[in-house]
Amino acid sequence: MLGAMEKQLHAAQQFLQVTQLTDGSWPYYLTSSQGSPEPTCYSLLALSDGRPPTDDPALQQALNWLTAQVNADGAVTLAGDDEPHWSTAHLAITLTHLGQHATLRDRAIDWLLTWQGAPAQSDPWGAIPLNNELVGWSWISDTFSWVEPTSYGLIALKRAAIRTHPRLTEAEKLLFDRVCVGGGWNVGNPIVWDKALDAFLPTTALALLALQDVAADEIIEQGLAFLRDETNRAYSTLSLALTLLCMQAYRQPADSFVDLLLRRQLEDGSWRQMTQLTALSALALQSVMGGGNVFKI
Amino acid sequence: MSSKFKGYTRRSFLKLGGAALGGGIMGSIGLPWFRRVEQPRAQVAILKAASYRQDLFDLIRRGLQEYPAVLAQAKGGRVVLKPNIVDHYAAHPVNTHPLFIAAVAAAFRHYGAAEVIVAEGPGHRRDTEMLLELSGVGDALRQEKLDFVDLNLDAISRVKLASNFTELGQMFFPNTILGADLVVSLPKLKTHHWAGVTLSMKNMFGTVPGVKYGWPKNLLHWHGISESILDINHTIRPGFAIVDGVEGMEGDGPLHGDAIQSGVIVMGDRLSAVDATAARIMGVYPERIDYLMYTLTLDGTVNDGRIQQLGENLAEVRQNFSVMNHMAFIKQPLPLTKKILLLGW
Repeated sequence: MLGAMEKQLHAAQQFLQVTQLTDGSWPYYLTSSQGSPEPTCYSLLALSDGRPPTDDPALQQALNWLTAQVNADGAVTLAGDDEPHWSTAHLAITLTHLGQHATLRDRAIDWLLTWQGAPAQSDPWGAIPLNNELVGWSWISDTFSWVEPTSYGLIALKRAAIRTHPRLTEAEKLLFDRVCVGGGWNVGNPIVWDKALDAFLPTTALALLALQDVAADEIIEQGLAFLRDETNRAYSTLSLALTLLCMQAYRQPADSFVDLLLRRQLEDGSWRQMTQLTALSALALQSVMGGGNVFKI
Repeated sequence: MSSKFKGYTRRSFLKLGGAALGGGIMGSIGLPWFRRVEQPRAQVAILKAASYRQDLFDLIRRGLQEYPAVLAQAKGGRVVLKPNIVDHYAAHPVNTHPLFIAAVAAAFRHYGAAEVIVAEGPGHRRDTEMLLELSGVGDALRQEKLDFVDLNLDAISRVKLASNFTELGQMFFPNTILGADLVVSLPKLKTHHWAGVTLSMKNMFGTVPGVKYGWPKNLLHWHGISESILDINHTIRPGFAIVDGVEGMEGDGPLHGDAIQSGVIVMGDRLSAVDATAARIMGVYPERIDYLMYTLTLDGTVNDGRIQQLGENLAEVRQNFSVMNHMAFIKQPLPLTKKILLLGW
């Protein structure tokens, strides 16, 4: 299986090489010519595969593109936009993993420490029972804290070796507060109008990755059980790749998920002809093959 | 359009309507009898459809014949169909039905569209691949050889909002939507526990890109659901709407409501009129829905006197959709005086 995995990983990397845009970035879609920070971070990490990006002009160009998206405050911004973007956490994770641009990485971390979600708007009906005092990270400025950006924020800080900070403590509390009935996480609304909403696989994997250094706990165990059971029942490329990265971080068996992921690869080496999914899948395979896990704290 | 409703509740909106008459204020709402005259006329077709297994293509094809200007727009052009694919709960009819999407696509192809694309940006589920498979839409796309664009991850451009109820001024939208010759909203006929109903105009929330605004698109709630509906629709200007009311959802929509065999398809080229008609079919008073009332300040039509019904008689297909207790008011008529003040009925 390792031989087949290596071959398929290589095919994925080749797909990423040919889909890099001339400015060094990657788009989400094969057909798009607009680079985005998230797929660029994942693609750069998947192609680096333990090598310093400075050894490869294409990877150096990707790194240059990413660093050029950072504003004076240390936050990533999208082309044509002046607002800070949620992918700043991805930039910090990428620079930490690659050991590049320490000063820029530190500025991104400093910015993450200052950027925070807003408390929830008033809920006069009590329709969404949450601890509204808790604040993590939001998708955009001045809005509510959600599970996914909060998980990215936690991973970025922890990977940068920040292990004690009030923001970490509060964000972890927030994740525990937002857990779904029966285990796992959705976007961050476990109950609305007395109805328990389902947990999702990708957000559960990300929340667990953000909490991987927290002492074993029933909520963590429930989350892992949800991942195992649901990923066997209904899955997608995104859920398989993130589940694999999560299971690897928790040292849990995941062979069946590897097989499912490999079977979904297209002939052109991609997963769904999407760079973000292909890069995440490659990162998951690298992790299984003993390479680094970009989300491992 | 300089008027803004940010911060106004339904109640204050109604008060403002009263003030407009009593004080003679020619403000953003204007005098109701002017409103009545200003509301353009619209044609809305109501078609009976008892089952997804019947020939929906033929039904929709015949319905579209009533809109030659829309067909001219579609012919040789790129038509983007925007269904409502929001989540998956097996026991609840959450999404626009796959067979309905396929039938609409086939109808626009029949009328000569050069390209028909299905595009959606689910509001809180980032895993669009999973959603397409669970909802059955993935199978329909493969069967009909239809391209799909995840609007959450599409290339995006910043555009100036055509109205500014949210006070955002500008927003990013997907290039697939901005570059379409015709955008067609394909909502599900559903009640909504925050907005009252979710129909063709609310469905356009799915054009707001997650790559910029995240999952969920929380910005829209913070700046007001009704205000956001208005700004998005006024900016994107979807040219047509076809409501999947073959099976609707009542009660705790948009996710946990119950199925109701409503047996209708509602279509038209003026979305406010389509939504007002669909609301009436649900037994909901459109003047009770904030965003529909807001459309009167732009170029909307909700007054049944200005809507020419085609096809079936509305009274014959009207149902009594249940709503959550806190939304009970949307099923109560406005007192006549308020109705006259606001709409000039």
